Amino acid sequence: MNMLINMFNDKKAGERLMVFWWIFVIAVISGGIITAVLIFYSADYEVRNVEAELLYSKVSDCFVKNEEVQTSLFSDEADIIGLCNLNKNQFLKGSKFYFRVSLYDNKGNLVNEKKEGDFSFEKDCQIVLNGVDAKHYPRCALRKEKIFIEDKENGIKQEKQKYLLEILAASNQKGERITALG
Amino acid sequence: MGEFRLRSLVENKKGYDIAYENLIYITLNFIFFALLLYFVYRSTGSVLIYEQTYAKEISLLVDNSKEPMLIMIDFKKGDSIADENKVPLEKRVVVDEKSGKIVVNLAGKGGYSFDYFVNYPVKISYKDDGEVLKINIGEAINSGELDSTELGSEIGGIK
Repeated sequence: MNMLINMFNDKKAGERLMVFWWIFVIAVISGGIITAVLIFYSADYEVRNVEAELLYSKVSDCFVKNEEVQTSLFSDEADIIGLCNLNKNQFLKGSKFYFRVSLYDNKGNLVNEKKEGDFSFEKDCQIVLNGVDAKHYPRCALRKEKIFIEDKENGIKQEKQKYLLEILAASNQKGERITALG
Repeated sequence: MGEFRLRSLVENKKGYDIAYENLIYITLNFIFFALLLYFVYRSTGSVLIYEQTYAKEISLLVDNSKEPMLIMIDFKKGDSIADENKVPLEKRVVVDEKSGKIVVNLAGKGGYSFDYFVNYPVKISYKDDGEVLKINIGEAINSGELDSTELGSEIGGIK
């Protein structure tokens, strides 16, 4: 160590400055590489789009079975979460998920609607689906499907009516690092 | 001729100083870049990345499953990291069915948690000394007769 200090002291003023320049260059290079690596590897894997699609798929499979819409699921008493095999705790207030199922008649009037999860995602999804890329907003899947439902009057099947089924599913789950298992 | 120059450089006080300075300069540079490369190498194979990847993959597989189903995934990398950190088998992947959470803990320091939204019973078990992770969705399936590699490639094997 003393030798290094002596080597530094023996140098002329210009050469001493070069040592500081060398340290500065090394610090800039290492700082740049370390920052880039940390930013790159600390980034989350984005799976919210996939989750929204999966939720859409689950809800769609639940509401449409054998190409027929399960109209019973639109009744007020129907427990969609339970009937669709979804976890109740994941769709409480402040949830990371949301879905809405809307049924429109052929004139575009809303006939029935069911929604679960964080209702604030509805407006966020409108923004995101309009092409705004907001990092902390949920990722959404919206599908519209033309369907036919056999109306029944006094238990007698009538002519099939044309309806529009719209399903919106959203996820804003980013995952979390935990320090200890609870 | 070359040997003569080198000897004269070493025997000469000034020449000796120049050679010595350059040697120190090169050595310090070498140490610095070696440390930097080691840091980059450690970062790329970080436990944090594997914990997050496995947690998200398992959650998405569960969300995409149908009851009953047996999913087997290649867990070799996770197994080797957990072995290095001496994490017991039963604490590597923990499922909280009630809240719908999957926690992957390969470093023994808590781990990474990711939620799934379906309400199926999910059971985790291992095969081949922890190198294959079995995810039982719904009622348990007896997989004794089935080959893990076949299942891995057919039902969501992650290589």
